[in-house]
Amino acid sequence: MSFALIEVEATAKKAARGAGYGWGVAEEASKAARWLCAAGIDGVAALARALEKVDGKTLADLTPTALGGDWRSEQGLMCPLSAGAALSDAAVFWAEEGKRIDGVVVPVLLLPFAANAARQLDKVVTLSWGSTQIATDGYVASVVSGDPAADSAETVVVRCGGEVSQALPAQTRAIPSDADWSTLNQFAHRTYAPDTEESRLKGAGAGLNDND
Amino acid sequence: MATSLSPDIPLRDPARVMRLSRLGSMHQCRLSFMRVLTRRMAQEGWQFARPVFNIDDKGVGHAVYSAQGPERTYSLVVFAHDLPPEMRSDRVIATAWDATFTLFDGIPSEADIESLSQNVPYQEAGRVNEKSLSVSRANRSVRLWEHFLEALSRGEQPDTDKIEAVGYLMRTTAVYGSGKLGASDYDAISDRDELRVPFQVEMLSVFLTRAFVRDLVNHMARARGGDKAVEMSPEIAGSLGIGNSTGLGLGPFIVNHPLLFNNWIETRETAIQRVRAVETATADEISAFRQVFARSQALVANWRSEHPVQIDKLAALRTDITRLQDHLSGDALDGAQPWDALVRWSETALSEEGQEFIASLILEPYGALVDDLAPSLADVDSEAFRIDGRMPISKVRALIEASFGWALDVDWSARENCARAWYVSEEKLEPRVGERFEEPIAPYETPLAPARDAAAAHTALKDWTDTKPIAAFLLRHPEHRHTIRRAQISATAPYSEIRDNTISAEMFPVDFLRVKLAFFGATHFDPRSDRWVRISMYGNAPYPEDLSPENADYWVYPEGLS
Repeated sequence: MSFALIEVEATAKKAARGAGYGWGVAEEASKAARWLCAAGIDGVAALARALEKVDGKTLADLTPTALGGDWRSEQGLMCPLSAGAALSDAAVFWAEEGKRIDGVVVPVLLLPFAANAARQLDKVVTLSWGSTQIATDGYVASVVSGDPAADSAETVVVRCGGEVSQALPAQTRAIPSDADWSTLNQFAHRTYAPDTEESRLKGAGAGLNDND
Repeated sequence: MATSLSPDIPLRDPARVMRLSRLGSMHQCRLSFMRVLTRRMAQEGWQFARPVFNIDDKGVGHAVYSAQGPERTYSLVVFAHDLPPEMRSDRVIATAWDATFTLFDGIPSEADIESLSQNVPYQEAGRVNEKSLSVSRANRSVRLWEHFLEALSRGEQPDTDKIEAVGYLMRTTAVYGSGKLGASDYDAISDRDELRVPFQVEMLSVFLTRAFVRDLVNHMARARGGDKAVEMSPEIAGSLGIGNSTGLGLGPFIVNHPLLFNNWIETRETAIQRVRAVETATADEISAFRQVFARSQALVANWRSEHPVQIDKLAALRTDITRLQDHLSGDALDGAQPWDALVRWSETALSEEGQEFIASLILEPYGALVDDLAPSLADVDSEAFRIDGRMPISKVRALIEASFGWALDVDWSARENCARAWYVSEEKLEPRVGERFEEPIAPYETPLAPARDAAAAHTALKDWTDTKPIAAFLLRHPEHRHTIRRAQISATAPYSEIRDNTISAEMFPVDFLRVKLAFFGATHFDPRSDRWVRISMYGNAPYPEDLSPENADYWVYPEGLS
């Protein structure tokens, strides 16, 4: 089934919130999932896998410990949303030297944040891990080598430079797998208040009947 | 000759404009989305047709209404149903309706209609694709519908008193756009001139819905009365609007889209500023204003509500109008900067309803001066979302203080200051407001208390060095990220934040709905409770086939009734 990108955005935001992120990071997750889908990469799958990996863990332990230097987390596992948000926020600080990030869960989720940096710096930014290289000018993505779908990466290197050739075709709809879409919806479901009779009658402030 | 403008008139202070009670007193104006749409369609000579009307005697079937602009055609595809009364509900949780609609991008084939017929009637339980731009539904006003059918089928016109008491034959209970239920989203169509201004898809859908409703009741009356039946008169048809019944869903929207909301308010404020800056009003401009003022009184006269809050507000507005009549009977508009003088006078003499009424009304003679602002109602700045991590802590603090200085000393732990919580219910994802200390809803709270959150972020920032970049703070405090984003948006969007406590015991949720609906162009706000409001749309508007540059603009003000 095809989804409007704003449906991806809305579902991703609730899913990230359901997984325990603050609303501001959940907003980043939603824009990231949307950006990937628009760039021709399955952002729903990426977010679903990342949320499954971090679910139940203390999120503060999966975050870079300081802005400078290489980024590692307390626990060795790095959340791509937390690291991604910091990558976007701190773009001007690492623009010259680049950034090494260890233990990244679903590394392709860093790409939308690298794209933020690319637009801000007006430069191509390239992510590399293992044999994979992806470049973005902020608007489109180009898989230079390897497969962007990985569950984790020992070290991701982010640097300014590279070339966006043969960009993936831009998309205006997303076609996620049923399983991944369902995963996001299961996380999103945690944000809905269980229905009670009182809530039903009072919460929306309207009667149930409209025969007038 | 160009109108001479004073450079000395400032925009109105956001601290004054963005109070909930004032937002909840706003009125439509010439930049409202409906009026932008009808002006454009008339100027561009859009063509309207009804290529399909396949409805049986019971009112069941489908129809297609098309609107052809210079570059594209849009088609309202209608499914009409025979709804048992016990299923008629205007809540989001309803599952069946008298009529269901989609605005189709282009001209639908039979296969398209077949596919839509399997989905649109089920609304949230169905699914459309990118060829649909909206999905909506409407229920009959039972009392007025039956009266119309009865009268028209006997060959009589319906009773005008009964019509005035309701104002419409059907009310929409949701008009979904931008990506809902699989429809195309705004980003995919915002590069089209005719859809760039917000909610043009939804407004076009309702404009065509109104024609369908008229046609349906005429059709059913003919089926019932045969040769005896008559069509409703053009005057009666013209007076009818489309109702809308709106719950809390609109409230979160204006908080969740701070830049877009800013652009609506700032666009109207800029228009008000321009008109206030007019050095002298010509005789024609004054005459145009007086005519619209006279006609607007009929609009207020037949605005009814049974809700105590709105009853008081309406009484105040009617007193305001009497005061305005007295004030305008002399030479109030003859001096320098007459509209500025009028606005200043209103601030001392009128209620907030009256002040906002006049602020909207002074724009009416000045289409040439303000209509070009319409494109700025849109938000197409996707970069505003990105946080600037370099911004020093001191600057972020100052931004929070600018919007929320008043909130920093509020005791946010006091029950009355955080009595409410906004949440989304599991049942059909209906947005609701509840009592934080009486219901188990706090864990599900949605971020609709920017003032409380701003105060919390401000406290957390207290011990941070002024010159540190905000990126460092956000690394330690991701829980404040949404607040920091809003603060940065407010740097260029002075009207992005509501300057009131949105979770206090005193908060009146209908205020949120009112301001949004006023920007749509709605009239006759009739709160049915503190969180549910009925309105009228397109009352007195021309029908599609009659739309012309002469009637595309001032239709909102009834002619000849005052």
